[in-house]
Amino acid sequence: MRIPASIPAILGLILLATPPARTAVAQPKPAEQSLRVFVPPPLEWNRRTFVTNPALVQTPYDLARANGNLTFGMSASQVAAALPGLPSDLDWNNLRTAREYAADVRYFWLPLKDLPAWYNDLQGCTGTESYAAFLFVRRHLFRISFRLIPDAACPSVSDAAAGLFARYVGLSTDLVLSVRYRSTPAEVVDITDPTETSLIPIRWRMSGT
Amino acid sequence: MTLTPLRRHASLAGRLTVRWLATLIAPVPLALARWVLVPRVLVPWVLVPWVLVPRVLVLGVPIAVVSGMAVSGVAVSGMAVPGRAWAGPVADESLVEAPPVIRDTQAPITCTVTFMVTDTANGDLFAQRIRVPPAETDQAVDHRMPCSPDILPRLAGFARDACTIRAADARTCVYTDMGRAFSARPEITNTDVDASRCTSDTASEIAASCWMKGVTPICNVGCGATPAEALSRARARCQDKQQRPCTASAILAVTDQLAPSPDAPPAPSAARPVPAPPGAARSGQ
Repeated sequence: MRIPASIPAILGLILLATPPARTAVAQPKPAEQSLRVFVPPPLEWNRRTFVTNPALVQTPYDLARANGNLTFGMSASQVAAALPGLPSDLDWNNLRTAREYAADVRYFWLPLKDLPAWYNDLQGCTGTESYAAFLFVRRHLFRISFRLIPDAACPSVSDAAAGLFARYVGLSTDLVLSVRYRSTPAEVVDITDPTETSLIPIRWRMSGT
Repeated sequence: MTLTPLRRHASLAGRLTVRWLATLIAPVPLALARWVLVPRVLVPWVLVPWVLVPRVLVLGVPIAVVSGMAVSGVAVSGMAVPGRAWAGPVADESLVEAPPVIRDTQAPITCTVTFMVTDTANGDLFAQRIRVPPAETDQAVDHRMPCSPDILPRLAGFARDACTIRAADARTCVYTDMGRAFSARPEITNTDVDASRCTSDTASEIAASCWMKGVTPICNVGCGATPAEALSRARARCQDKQQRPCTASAILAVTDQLAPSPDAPPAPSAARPVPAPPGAARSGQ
């Protein structure tokens, strides 16, 4: 049987038109990164006054629960009694002066790893030099400053700082003002008594201490 | 029967005498009843006088004791069930337990407007919910109270305060729905305040889809009935606006109130079309 001369030509054209089999491996889709969202307490719009008010009632007890049983206004000896491993005679007179404040502000500090109420719940690493400063004015606790300092074993403390910050964002700003900022290379989370208005804007700078 | 004044006085005197005698006599059977009954059957202390006194006055001591026993028996039969709490000191723990939350399954969801705000200094994303109580004329649609459009512009500043009050520099707080120019000029003028919010009358979820410029997420926002829908809208808007893959995201419920129970009867509603979410209208989705 004779094959028409045109058939091989047609087959050749079909083969040429057929796309080559895929040899390249499909590029993997980039992994979806989940971002943390900080959710402050809800507000409620007041139709009469045209301002917002807190929609939830929170008390210092809510702050104490998130804050290792500490609340603002406690004396140094009361704070020391609530923390592990501090001398019982700690009081205003034997505290150091915090030089970044113009007012008479005094403090003591503890390594973060010695504060289980906070350290045990941290997500992410902290440098070994990280610590918390407890600051007092007129003999009363008004600020706790968590200073997370990275090191070779923990080059980024952002996750831990965000976790600390998140503990306080859900509390009303009538109870506590929480601020997160960088003081390179440290990351700082300050929680401050909202009634100490003149001291609120003052930030810690790592080079200044 | 009509009483003469003398008899009336006598009757009154008699009744007073009975009351006076009863006052004297009553403590005796009461004390006896308490002594006999209470230690044995743990009758609640308050039950004894109030149950027994009328019978003591009318029927006398023996019946009082008997009826007291009967009453006590009734009380005991109800109390002596194993597992019931006996009268006595209450454990401290039960006093500090929070009361159960009672859910009103028929209450429509109050209008809640949720804004997303970003602190560009450290990349923190905030979601501020603001509840708007209904006006007297508002009526629920599908169990959701409407969010009045004339109030929404007033809320943006309060929502941004959620960031400014917690940031080292208030200028770094911007609305999360960002324009194409934001990555070059990270200023609030390059953000869209209206597209950075979702309202509970038209959406259940709010999502941000972002690409990361260092620690700062460059995002756009989407609203939807489900998390997937909100994220899909946010991602489409982000890739359209930013012209690059948006692989970082966050999703949150618009309202923190409980959704109405599916078995709840429909609330009275006004016939009104549900408007499209603001993000969808702008992005043409």
